[in-house]
Order: sequence, then structure tokens, then C-alpha cells
Amino acid sequence: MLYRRVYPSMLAYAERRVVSKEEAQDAVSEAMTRTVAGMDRLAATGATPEAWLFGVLRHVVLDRQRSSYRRRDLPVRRDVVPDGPLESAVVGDEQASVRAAFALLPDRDRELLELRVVAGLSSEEVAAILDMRPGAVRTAQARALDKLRAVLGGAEGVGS
Amino acid sequence: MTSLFDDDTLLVALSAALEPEDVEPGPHALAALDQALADRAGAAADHGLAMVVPIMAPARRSSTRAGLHRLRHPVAAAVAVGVLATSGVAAAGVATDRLPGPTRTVAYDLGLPVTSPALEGTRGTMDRLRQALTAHNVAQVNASAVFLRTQLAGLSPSDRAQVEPAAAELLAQADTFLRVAAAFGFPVGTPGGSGPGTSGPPSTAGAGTPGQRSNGGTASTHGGSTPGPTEAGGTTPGTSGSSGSSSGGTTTGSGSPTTTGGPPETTPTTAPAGSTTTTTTTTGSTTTTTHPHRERDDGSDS
Repeated sequence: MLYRRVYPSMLAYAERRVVSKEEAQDAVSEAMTRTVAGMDRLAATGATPEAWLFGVLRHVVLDRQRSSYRRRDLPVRRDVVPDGPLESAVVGDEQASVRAAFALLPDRDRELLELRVVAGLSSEEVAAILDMRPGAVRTAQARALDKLRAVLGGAEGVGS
Repeated sequence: MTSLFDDDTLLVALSAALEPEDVEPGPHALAALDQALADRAGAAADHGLAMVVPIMAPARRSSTRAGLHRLRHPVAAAVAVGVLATSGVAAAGVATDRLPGPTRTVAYDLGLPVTSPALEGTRGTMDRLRQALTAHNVAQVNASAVFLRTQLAGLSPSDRAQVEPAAAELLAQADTFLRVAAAFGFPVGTPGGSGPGTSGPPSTAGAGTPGQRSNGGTASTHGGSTPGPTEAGGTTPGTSGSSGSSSGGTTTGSGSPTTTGGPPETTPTTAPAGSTTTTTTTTGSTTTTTHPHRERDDGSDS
């Protein structure tokens, strides 16, 4: 079942952008119900269900962010981001370092990388969701990876 | 960490670092999904409610929500809500019986509890075959039987298991019917040339010859002025059946719809031995008529 398969990545995407896990669950559920309600449009566009779901989820999350003033920036889950890139690098936890460095990226870069890497969407699908051109997505992805690399490099330098 | 300075490696590391927890949607999320699906199907959802609480069901068809609001007795309302909440999938299954083809495909892709488009299409073909057998429509029986065999071959094992017994019985009836029709050489019914606006099957009608594969897509609504491929069993239009197949028939290769859409409504005109099939192609449509006759003793047509 596609819903069960994409649910974890949808939830992770939402959790990084709304206040609580419960709100993230609500957002994913709302995205799915909106998708069901708009199945005709999905059928007409020919988009893949995965890309469509993330596109809808993005709108749901943005709606919730707009309607809430509880946060000024995109929330970051405490259990995802450890103490910081420096601490993580010191303990040699590569994944934690990457997560911490990722958290330091600008919102737009994080979203793009997440859609590409976590959701597994193509450049074209991400472009449709973020209202960009596929070429611009690839360029932005390369730039975001450069930033991530720079952060990791800095952390490694300090750590070593 | 130096390994992360390669783009691909960094992406892999990022993917591993951001890998989401293995969680599943909770019961509330699934219930909401089922409800959305039931709402989506509208009137059919109300049908599901009527089955659950027949006494309190509103006489007039309406949405599930409207039906619930009309339930005045609190106990009955509670029962209805409880049933809807706990058997959402079943209710949705009822509700989605009427989903149109493309939407059904999307719903199926999403993993919603709907019948697969392939199974739905197969059931539709079985219905047509039953109707054709009842109407003694040789052409329709032949075309539907061919189409049904093709569809059955394309079903998943679980889907096939649901229809196989009934389909086998139907196909056996169809084979017997076609053998008798061919042996006696006169049409039991006239092919239902539906002309323009009728979806149609592949252009072949040879018994046992696989037709074009249908995936339950949208059938063309044009009567089929585009010539389709003439497969085995197809001969020149207007000739008497001499292929010796069980249908013994003549297949008109022209006038087939261009799509691989739904199960056959009519068309591929297979006449029993001894009958003549003529095909008249007009703008945008093909009209096929079978003229029953018996061969004269001298072998010439009447």
C-alpha cells in the first residue's frame, strides 16, 4: 500500500516543519484525505502519486505554518538533531554530524534535499512541487550539497 | 569524514542520516482516509450506511454525513458511527464500487481499498458475456470470450481467484454456444452493430485468438473508423467464414477502436458459417451487418 510505504517519509518531512509530532501526523493525514478528495485531478495530471502526495503535504504544512505563530522558523525535531555538528563530529558519529549539518542549512535547501533524498523524488517532480525548473533544482541541489560539505568540513576540522 | 566530499557519497550519507522511522499511519489516520474515500464516493457511501442501519436509513439518497445527521435516535446514531469507524475499509469498499476508471486506477495505486481496475474490467466483460449469451448474440459472445480470456491472463493471482470459477463456467458456456452456432450455420442473434459512440474491442474476433490487452482504460467513444490490426481469424470483410475455427467466422478488420480500452461492447463481427458479413464504413463509424443465409446446394450464396 503506497500510503503505508510513503507514510514514514511524509511524517518525517512534516515533523521537521511543524511544532509537534501530533501536528505532523495530522498534516500527513490531511494531505492524504485531500489527495483522495482530489483524485480526479491527480488522474488527469498524470503525476506520480508519490510526488502528488508530497506536493499536497507541502501545501498542508505551509497552511499550518501560516496559521500558527508559534514558531518563527522551521521547527527541528530534538531527537533528529543532536547537540550540534561540533559535538557530533567529536564523538565521531557520522550520521549525527550529517543531521546536524543538515539542520544548519537554509530552509529551502533542506526542503529540496529532503524531497530528493528522503522522498526519493526526481528533479522534475521536485521542480513541480517547488515551482522551479528541473535544471534549477539540480543546480540548487549541488549548491546545497556544497554548503552541507562546508559545514561538515568545518566541523571535522574542529573535531580533529 | 573525508569520504563525504564526494557528491554521491554525501547524498548516500544524507539519505542514511535522514532515514525516517519505520512508522505506520495510526487508526485515526486510516479512519480519516476511509471516511474521505467514502465521502468521495458520495451516494454509494450512503448505500453502505443503509445496509448497516436499515431502519434508520434515510429514504432519500444523500451523503454519509447528511445521513448521520438525520439519525435521531442516539443509540442508532452511535451504532452507525461505531460501525463506520470500525469498518471503514468495508464501507469504503462498498462506496468505491462506482469510482470511474481513471480515478479507480489512482485510488488503487494509492493503496486504497478499491477493487483493482483489471478485476473491475474483467467483471464488466463477464457481465457482457452473460448478456450476450442471453441474447444469443454470436459476435458479442465470441468477442467477449476472447477478451475475457485475455483479461484473465493478465490478472494477479488473488484477483483471478475471485473470478476464475465463474469465468470458467461462462467461458465453457460460450464455447458450447459458439460450437453450436458454427455447426448449424445460422446466427442465433444478430451482431449488435452499435455504430458510432460505442466503445469496442480489438479488431479480432477469431475464437481463441487473443485480442488486444485491456487495462481497464478509457475506451474510445468513436465507433472506430480507424482500422485496427487484423489478427488471426480475420479475413477480408464480406467473405463467408471458412477458417474452420469454432466461430467459423469472418472478422472485419476495419472499424476497430484505436484504444485498448474497455471490454467489448459489440463489433468484431463473426458470423457463423454460411452467413455473410458486410461492413460499411461511413465517416467516423463502421456499420456491420450479418445476413443469415444457408448455402445452396450448388455452393453459391443466395
